[in-house]
Amino acid sequence: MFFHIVLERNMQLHPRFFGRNLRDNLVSKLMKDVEGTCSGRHGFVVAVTGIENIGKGLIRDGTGFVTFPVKYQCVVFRPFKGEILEAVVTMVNKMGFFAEAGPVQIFVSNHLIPDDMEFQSGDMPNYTTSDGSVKIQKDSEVRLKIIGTRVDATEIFCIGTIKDDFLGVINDPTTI
Amino acid sequence: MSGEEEENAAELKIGDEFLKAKCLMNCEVALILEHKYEQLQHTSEDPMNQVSQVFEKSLQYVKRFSRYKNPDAVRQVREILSRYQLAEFELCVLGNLCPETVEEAIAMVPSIKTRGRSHDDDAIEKMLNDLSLIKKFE
Amino acid sequence: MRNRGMDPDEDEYEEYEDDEAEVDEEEEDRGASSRKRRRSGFIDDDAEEVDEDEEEEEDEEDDFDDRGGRKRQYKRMAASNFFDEEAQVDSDEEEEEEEAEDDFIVDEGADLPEEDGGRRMHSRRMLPHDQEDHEDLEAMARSIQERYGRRATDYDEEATDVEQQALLPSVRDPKLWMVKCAIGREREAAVCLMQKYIDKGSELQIRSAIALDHLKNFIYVEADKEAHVREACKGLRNIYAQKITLVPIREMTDVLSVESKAIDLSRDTWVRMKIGTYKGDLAKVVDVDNVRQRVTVKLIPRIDLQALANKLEGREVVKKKAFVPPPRFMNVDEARELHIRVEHRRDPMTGERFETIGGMMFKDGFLYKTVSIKSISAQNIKPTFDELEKFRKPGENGDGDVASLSTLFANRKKGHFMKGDAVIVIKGDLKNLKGWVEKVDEDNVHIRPEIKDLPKTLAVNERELCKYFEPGNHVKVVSGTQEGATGMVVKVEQHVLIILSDTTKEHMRVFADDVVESSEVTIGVTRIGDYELHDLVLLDNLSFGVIIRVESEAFQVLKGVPDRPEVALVKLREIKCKIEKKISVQDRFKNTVSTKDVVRIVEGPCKGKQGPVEHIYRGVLFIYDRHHLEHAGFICSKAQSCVVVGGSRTNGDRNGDGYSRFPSLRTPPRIPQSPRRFSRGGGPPMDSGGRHRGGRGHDGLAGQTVKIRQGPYKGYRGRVIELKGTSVRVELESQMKVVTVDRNHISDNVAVTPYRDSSRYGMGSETPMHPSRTPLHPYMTPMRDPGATPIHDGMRTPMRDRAWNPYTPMSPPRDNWEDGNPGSWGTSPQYQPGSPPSRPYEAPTPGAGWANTPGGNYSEAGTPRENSAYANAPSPYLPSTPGGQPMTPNSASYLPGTPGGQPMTPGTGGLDLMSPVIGGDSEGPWFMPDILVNVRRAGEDSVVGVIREVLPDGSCRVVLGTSGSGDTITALPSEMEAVVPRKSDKIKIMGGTLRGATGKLIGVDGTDGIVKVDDTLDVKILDLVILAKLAQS
Repeated sequence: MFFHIVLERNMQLHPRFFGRNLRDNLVSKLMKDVEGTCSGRHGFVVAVTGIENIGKGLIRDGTGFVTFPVKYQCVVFRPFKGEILEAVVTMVNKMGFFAEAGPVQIFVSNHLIPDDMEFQSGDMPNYTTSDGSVKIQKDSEVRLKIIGTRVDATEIFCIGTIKDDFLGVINDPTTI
Repeated sequence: MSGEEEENAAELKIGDEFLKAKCLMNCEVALILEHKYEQLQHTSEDPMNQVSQVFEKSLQYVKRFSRYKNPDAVRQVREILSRYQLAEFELCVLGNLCPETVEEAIAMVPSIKTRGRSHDDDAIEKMLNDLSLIKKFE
Repeated sequence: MRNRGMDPDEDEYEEYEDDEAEVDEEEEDRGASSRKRRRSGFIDDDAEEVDEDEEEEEDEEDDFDDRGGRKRQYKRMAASNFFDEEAQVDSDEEEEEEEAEDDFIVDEGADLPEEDGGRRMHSRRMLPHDQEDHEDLEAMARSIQERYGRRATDYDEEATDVEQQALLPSVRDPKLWMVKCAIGREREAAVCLMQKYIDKGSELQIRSAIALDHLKNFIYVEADKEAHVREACKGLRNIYAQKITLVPIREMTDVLSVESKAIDLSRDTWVRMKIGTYKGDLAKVVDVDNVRQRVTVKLIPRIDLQALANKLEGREVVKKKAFVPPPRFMNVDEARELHIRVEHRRDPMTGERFETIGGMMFKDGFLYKTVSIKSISAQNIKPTFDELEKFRKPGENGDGDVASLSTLFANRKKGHFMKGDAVIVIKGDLKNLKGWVEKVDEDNVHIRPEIKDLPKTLAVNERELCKYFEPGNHVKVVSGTQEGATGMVVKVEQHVLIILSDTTKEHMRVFADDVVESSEVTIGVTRIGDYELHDLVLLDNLSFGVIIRVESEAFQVLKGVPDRPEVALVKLREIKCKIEKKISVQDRFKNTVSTKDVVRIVEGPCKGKQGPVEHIYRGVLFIYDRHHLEHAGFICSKAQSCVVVGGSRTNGDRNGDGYSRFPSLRTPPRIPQSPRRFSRGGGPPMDSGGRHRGGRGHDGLAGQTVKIRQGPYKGYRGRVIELKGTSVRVELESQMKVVTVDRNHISDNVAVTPYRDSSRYGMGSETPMHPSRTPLHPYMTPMRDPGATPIHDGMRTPMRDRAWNPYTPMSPPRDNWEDGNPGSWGTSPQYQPGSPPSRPYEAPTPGAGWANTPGGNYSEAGTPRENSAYANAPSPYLPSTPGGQPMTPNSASYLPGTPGGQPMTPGTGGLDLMSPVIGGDSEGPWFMPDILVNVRRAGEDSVVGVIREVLPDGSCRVVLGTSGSGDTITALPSEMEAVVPRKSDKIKIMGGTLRGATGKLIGVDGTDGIVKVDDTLDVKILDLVILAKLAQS
């Protein structure tokens, strides 16, 4: 789920960047540093939308660098256990399938796929119901529920299920 | 396992920080990210090479899964959903998934039916109807 | 019959006195003397006697044979001489039958003793009583009773050690004899003896028979005399009474104090086979035969049906050595197809029906085999999950599961619950109650139940509890085959959890008991031998690949086949060596690609993927894309099918090319960094994006200035060039060489890039540097020409000038040299970027070396600086030392003080940027083919064209048009002006040492351009003047 939150960070800036463009430099650096990162607490920082406040800079002893505490607003993506969301299938194999919801990757194990869907290997491996009515393959859109999350150093990985009611392939009327 | 503190979106246990934070629906995020992308385009020739992969994937995702493309519609959706006492999180889930029936809505957001909340099926149904209206007339 | 006793064998009597004494007691104890006993009393060591004895036995059985009768008489008479009254009394009953006969033969019997001389020896002189003393019988009996009765009571009072000692066998106790018996039949032999005793009663003069499990081939018999043992063993097939050995008294207790582990085997226990074809296989006990020490077990058959068919049909069977067929359920139909005879039999004992094939019994596909208890192992059997599953026939389902598992549960080691574990009750009234462990006792576990209404803690027996997990929990396996793996629970099936492994993303099935909740994420085994995960290795057959997975004994290698992903499983020995060459190739657009550059694949199956290049070899790139789900994220692609993105690894998560985004930020800052990275196209080493660092060892150490603290190079300072596992290649500051040192021998020297947010104070000193740098650039311009040979010649003026420029500030920082780039900057001026190593500096003598050596190496431009360092006093470096010494200070910094010279080492890497210091670049840009120029003829507008040929006089043949497709004209140098290249343009360097080289303009800074040279992959700052835009052909 996407959230718009305020985060704070201490930015260090080299005096060479002081001058009229100080603020710009700081903002640029912030964006460069923070966008794309991921933490267990806040999830992925997708984009910095604005600067709320830049505190007074403090010169560090001995180095000459200046630390600015910056409060900024950003859009983050944080998946929660129990959350239901939609994702795009990126890979299907006999263990299950991988789907992506924005920056986060979700794995749905075959144990959590309804029993009536079976794995079909081939050029386009997929999971299909016995009557062929429902098919999950690469690039399909599915609605799944996250049952567990794990945070790595650089990303969040989730396990999902489509076994509950109202989960599974999204029937897009336009594609029928 | 300490079940009491474990996070569970179905029960709206997502931590104070996020409960109080502003939640964004996919369509809203789409607007924000697209805006930012355009800004980048102005400042340099190849914005795609400058944004992080996270940004890129998020943008693709929200564009694909936005139910409402029109900014006005987006605004309306939020407005309507705000009338019902819903937590931000619940609001966004509903806005993202657009359930059609009450049953589906309860399955998507089980927390709206938890004890003490004043949502009865009728109210939920009305809400869903309003949402679908917006979509129709987008 | 004393007389008889006094015959020639008198001596022998004496010899046997002891025996007699013992026998005496024996008789008294038993109170029953059988003929046999008497006989055995006579017979001792003489083989002859034994034979006779046996003969006699047989005779006796014959009954009333003359000889036998005689002997009987004789014996009886002899016996009566030497036996106590009681004995006599007892035997009277037996004797009475013959007494009549014997009575009148008695006299004749007098002769007999002479014939059976030996026997007489056993006459009992000790027995004073004659057979006449029947009256005293009772008295005797009484005295003996008392005697033994007392002993009995004595025994009852046993309690102390001393008394225990008293129990140890003494000479008066029955001896223990070791008797040989048939192998495998020890127990049987002992049981037979027992049975014989029951049948024969008092005739059997032995006390006990012992069969030890661990001792094969022998049993122990407790008896007073060996003859008794012999006698007892007569007629028993299993016992070979020829070999009877006496056990020394001291060792008697040892015989019985053997420790043997009591193996409780019962039905349905899991065991493992120890020998044979099924060695190591899991088996289930079906029947136990303790007498015979055999068990019947149920196994998954390993039958080679074909070989069996051949054998049964009498065909020649080629016995494959060490070929163990895989375990597979026996399919009777298959066997029938191969014409193997299948019979149906009923097992007499259990009544079950079996199919018999080739003498082996099968049922339900399982092989039922009877084996000795010794050949199975019943302790600590932990069947793995797979084995259990295999054992479960398709017919069985959950029930079978629980049943078999419950037996396992019984064998589980105790005490694996810990406080805080989530558990669920599986047995008893509280079944299905969830709770958390509060306390663990000897047998009970106290849990805090989930339901509020129950008391705070409940004590539950350990056996009734089982760990509980929910999908979504992150766990770690702590025992069993998968030990060490971590993953997330996907599904819970009673005791079994299905976990998705973190590392392999595959499912694992483990028992709930074997896991604990943990947030730890394991990366698994990452190396075997010399090879680590993600290494590029050369395989035997000249193919190469990247290790994408490390398994227990082998590696999964993604081969260098660009068209389709090919994964091979290779063993350690199949790997020839690691490939560590740093090569670079060109991408689709002729940009140089080197490791760590981010590229995007534009054609082929993986089109669209992008990621940093991890390895390059033979024109093939190995790219790591973490969103690529196969092969651990590695993609193999031809270099030609890729394009470099952003020119450096700044792309991707790095939010793009940082520098381009922040116009305010000057490109210069980049320069210092590149030196740090010191590798091609070095991008900003900023790792703030939490970017995957592809590969190991690149943890910021590369490019850092370090001090060597141990080893032969102790004390040297240098810059880390490369990390190779545990060793590091360091470029020594003082000497122009790169040495390999152990990683532990070096220490960080507070080196750090100024741009790191992780504030390292080392920067402090560098700060001054930076500013100096900026100004440098402008100055650099002139200095651009690396080649600057002139510089060598004694410090070109330019150098000098510069030397005196703000550059000078650099000097003080001398100490900072080592400190990362900044340091290098300071020094760089002197050293110039030129590949440090290539400077053959022979420590020119201070002051002397101006023009020397350094000159040679200046090819990289930069060297000039050094020269200057020496020469004049460009002591810019050393404000203090005007000329001459300049080196010294430097050297000082460098230490191992080779005065002069070497200083270059440090920072040199970084100095590439410094190359801007061009030396005599007086010539100005030279035109060369393939560059775009603006041609302005007199009176005409400027037209763009491409130089095709440069004529000797300096004019050029130009083809008009941006792509050189128009007219061809000849233009003079004065009419031509190189088109100023813009960022990201391909350029050609027209002047300086790099003249002729092509590259890409990756940034512009004022009047300088930052160029990434194609061939060397160096990043250089060159004056825009000498850069020309390369025409796109």
